[in-house]
Amino acid sequence: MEPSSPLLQTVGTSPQRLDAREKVTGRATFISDLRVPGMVYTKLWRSPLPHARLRAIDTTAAARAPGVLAVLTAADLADCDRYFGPAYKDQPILAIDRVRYAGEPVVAVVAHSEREAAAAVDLLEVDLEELPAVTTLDEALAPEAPLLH
Amino acid sequence: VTDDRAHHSIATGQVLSIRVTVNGHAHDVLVEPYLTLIEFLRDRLGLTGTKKSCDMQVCGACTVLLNGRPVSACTMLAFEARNATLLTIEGVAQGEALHPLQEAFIEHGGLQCGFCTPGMILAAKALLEENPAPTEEEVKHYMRGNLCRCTGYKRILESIMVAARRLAQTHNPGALEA
Repeated sequence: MEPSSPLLQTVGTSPQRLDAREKVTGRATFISDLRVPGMVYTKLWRSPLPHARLRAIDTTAAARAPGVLAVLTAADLADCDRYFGPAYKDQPILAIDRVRYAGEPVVAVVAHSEREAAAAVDLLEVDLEELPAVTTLDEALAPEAPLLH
Repeated sequence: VTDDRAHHSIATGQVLSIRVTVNGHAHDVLVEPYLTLIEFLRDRLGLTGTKKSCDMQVCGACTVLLNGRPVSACTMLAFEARNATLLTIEGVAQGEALHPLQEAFIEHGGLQCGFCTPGMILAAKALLEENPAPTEEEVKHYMRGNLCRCTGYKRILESIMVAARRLAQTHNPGALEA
């Protein structure tokens, strides 16, 4: 298609992506393709429940598992800013006392290999006390709805 | 190695000696019985064009061709590929000359982030080898195991249809005018 105005060089045309050739040949490098000398791997234990109180976390067995370098919970982040977020920094890097959505990261296991990190995650024992979950707009707007923050 | 030998090795944790041909190169390698095909391709051979996404045989990002047929490299063991011929995305172009599917995906914008693209192209290649003149419905049906999360299906479909027509023309010039 011809540009609709001599002033517009791109509007109305179908330019090809500049990185398309790398992407169709498998040469494009994504984050998961990076290999850095000395690189180690992290796997997360994520909450299976949408809302719960964190009663206890037993990391003993995971910390002793082969290849494991560190097992981190929110308690280990006490010396740094434990929150992040694009606009409001209100998201805990690792859940603090409470989980607020299913899939929220609770424990991070660092190991020499991805396989070792994943195996150690399975050895974590996390004791959760389930709290009421709010899953619809109406429930969230109700006067007695639990506050998340 | 035989299946019996493989099962014995799994039980005892021994490594297995296998031969596998990848993109035209034969490799005689030792693999752990638990090593997945995608780990073998990406970590041992450095062929990182094959992508691990769902890691549970749902999304198709890890599709490679095993003796011409699409398989999910994430849920297949490396030793299961013994004596097989594999094609990964790195082997689809002939040097700098792109395959018609690759050209069509570029020209028709059949990709955005590109993470699903290697699997899309390999699945489509298997389809066109099996069925050189598919209908749009046949393409949709065949490609149902390959997910794109940039919502680019329309352009992916368009890319495959264009490539099919070009390949048909290359193999049988004049056929489309008939």
